[in-house]
This record gives sequence, C-alpha cells and structure tokens, in this order.
Amino acid sequence: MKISIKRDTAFVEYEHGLKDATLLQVLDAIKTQEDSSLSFSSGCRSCVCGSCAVRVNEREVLACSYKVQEGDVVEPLKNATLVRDLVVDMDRAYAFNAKAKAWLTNITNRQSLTPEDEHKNALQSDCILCSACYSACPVYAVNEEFLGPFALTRVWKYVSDKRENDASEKIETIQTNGVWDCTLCNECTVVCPQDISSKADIEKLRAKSAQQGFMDPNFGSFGGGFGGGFDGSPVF
Amino acid sequence: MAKLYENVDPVESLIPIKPVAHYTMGGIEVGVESQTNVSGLFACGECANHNVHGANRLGGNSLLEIVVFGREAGANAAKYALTLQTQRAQTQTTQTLSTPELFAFEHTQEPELDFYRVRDEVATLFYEKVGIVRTKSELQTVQKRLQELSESLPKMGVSDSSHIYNTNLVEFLEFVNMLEICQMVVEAALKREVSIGAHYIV
Repeated sequence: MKISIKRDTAFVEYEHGLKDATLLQVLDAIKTQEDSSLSFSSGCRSCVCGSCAVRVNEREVLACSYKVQEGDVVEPLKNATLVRDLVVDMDRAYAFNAKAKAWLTNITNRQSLTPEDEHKNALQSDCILCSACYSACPVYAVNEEFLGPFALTRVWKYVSDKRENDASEKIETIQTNGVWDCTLCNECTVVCPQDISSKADIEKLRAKSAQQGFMDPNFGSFGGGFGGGFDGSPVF
Repeated sequence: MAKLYENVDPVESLIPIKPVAHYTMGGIEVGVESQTNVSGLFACGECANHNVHGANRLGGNSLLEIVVFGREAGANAAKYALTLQTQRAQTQTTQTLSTPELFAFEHTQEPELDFYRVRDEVATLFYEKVGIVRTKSELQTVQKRLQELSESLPKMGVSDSSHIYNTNLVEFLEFVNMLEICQMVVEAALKREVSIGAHYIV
C-alpha cells in the first residue's frame, strides 16, 4: 500500500505492508524500518492525548484513530508554523486560550454542582487541544487574530459553569476577534475527534453576548440579523 | 476500540484480552514535599516514588498521584521559586552533546546495529520472561542478554543528523535509559526471592 507524506519541501511516497493499520502505526513502521528521519508527534496512541493530529487528504484526523487507505496524502496541520515534516508549533494557537480569558474569573465558593450541572459543559471539557479545529478554520485566512474554535469552546465551558459568578469580563473579551468573526461554516465540528461543536458553542456565546447588550458589528446597523440560528438559538 | 486497534469486530468474534505493562511502581525518590534530592527539582506521578503503593498499585490509585501529589509538587515548586533571589534572563542555549551514547550522533556513518530492532527484542524478552510469572532461570537469561546488549551500545546510534525536532535522537536516548532501567528491574526481581504484590516468582 502506498501513501504520500509531506516532508519539509516535497511529498515523498512510501510503501508499506501493514493491513488495517492506523496511520500512526504506519508512520511508526516507516520511521523504525525505513526512514528514521521522518518526524511526527504522538503520545498515547489511543485517542486520548491529541498530539498526533495531521491532515489526510485535506481533512484533519488523529493519526492514531485513522485507518490508512491506498493513496492517502498526509500533511501537517494548517494555520501553524511548520517545525519539521508533520510537526507544527502550536504555541501561537494555545496562546488564544489565555487571550480569550478561558478560565473561571469570579469563583463562587462552596457552590455545589449536581450531575446535571456537570453535564452542562461535560462535552466542552472533553477537548484534548489537538488543534484539528484550529487547522480546519477558514477564518485564519482573513484574520490571524481570531480567537478560534477551541478557545471559544473553552470560554463557553467557563461561561456556562455554575461556579462562575460573573462572566461579563469573558463575554466582553470575545467581542473583538471573537464570536462575530466566525462564519458558522461548521468545519470545526466536522473534524473534531471528540464530537465537540465549537460552532454551536460560538452561537451560544453570541446569544449570551446579546443578553449582555452586545451586537453583531456586521449586522447591527440593519436592526437585527437574519432570523434564527441553525440550531434554533437566536441570532441578534 | 476493538475494531480500531485489534481489527476484531465484537459482533462477530471475541475480544482478545491480554496483559500489558500499564504502570511502573517505584521511581525517583522524593520527600514529603515531592522534592527530589536535587534542590528545586520536584517529581510526581508515575516517575516518582512517594512510597504510597507498596508492592502493587491498586486500580484507581494512580489518581492519587495527580490529585494529591500533583497539587503538592506544584504548590511546593511555586513556593520554592519565590525563595529564589535572582531571576535568570531567558537565553537561548545550545546543548552540547558530550555523553558517550551521543558519540554516534556526531558520526555520519550509519550505525552498525539498529536500536529499534534491539528495542523490539528487549520488549519481547520482557513480555515473555519478566512479566506476570517469573522464574529465576528465565530472569538470569534476560540478565545475561541485557548485559550483552548494553555492551554493544557503542555500535548503535542515531541515523538522523538533523538538529531540529529529532525524534530519532530522543528515541535513542530513551532507549539507552530504558536498557539501564531494564537491568535494574531484572536485578531487583532476582534479589526478591519471594512473591509479593505484582512480583510473582516460581
């Protein structure tokens, strides 16, 4: 079986004899048997850590959970600085979590959480920072400062946390390069290995923003947007 | 999971169940503050030995490492950092490759022995002979082989000469450490003549 891997400057074709193998198994086999200079990141090998996200046929996947097909084309993630081969530097991406103030700001002490309360943002808590969504996001082509899908999902996680006493600062922070810059294209949802929908979280944050008196700067002057959101949530 | 990693469809056939090395008991000695014997260096989790697990870490107790000692190590490291008078400026440093194991890295020649193959051999040896049920004679066989492999280390090395994100180099360094730890594990297993905890010797 042949696959093509983007090395530093060009694609290199590799042949391997593994059957029903994950991409990570194939990458490992190439590295340990054929070409030890092939560079890629990986960690747990079982879909937990999020280190091995790459693009296969222009679609973001975790190498450890993708079964290799004949003729697959493997590339590094987009929107990040290339370090070597399939390895990218994610520092700039991760910095958006801090820029978006994705943490508990005003903690209510001794607030007990019911299982229902935990359930509210359990899905958002599953994010493994693999950056598949960040790579798939088309907004970076026009706005490099966009806070991005995973950081905004994390903001929603803390905005919806019962222990957060005052989320207004977080909502204020995401008005610039934040919720209104998203095109709601849903690419982030499609590629997420954890089934998180940042697009849906961004829509919820838009609704919260409206409740706090903020408006979509793109449609504000028309006196209200295009009606309802895709998931039934209001768009203001 | 069965389909993804074992190519077994549980609807059609049985899921294979097999033992794996899941956790390493023991590790870097630390005191009550999670500090190692190197001042300012803290350790917690599987790499450290907090003396809480005894001879067998029971299921779920690894959580203790992160919930209790992770917090302890973090808080104490922060406390320690505050006691430091000077703040070192961030400078770019280039590490000098000087250990004997790294000699090969400086060489342009292909290593005589492929350490990935040797790593596979050690893995198989450990799975079969230093696993759930151990015997003195098998442990001795492994000990002898490990000694031979460790003597042939100078013939092994790194093929990738890049100084950027060189995982071939990292994996080789890990392998060198792994070989040393393996020798210690076998030596300890031989010294412990009675079965205790996860160590079962017949």
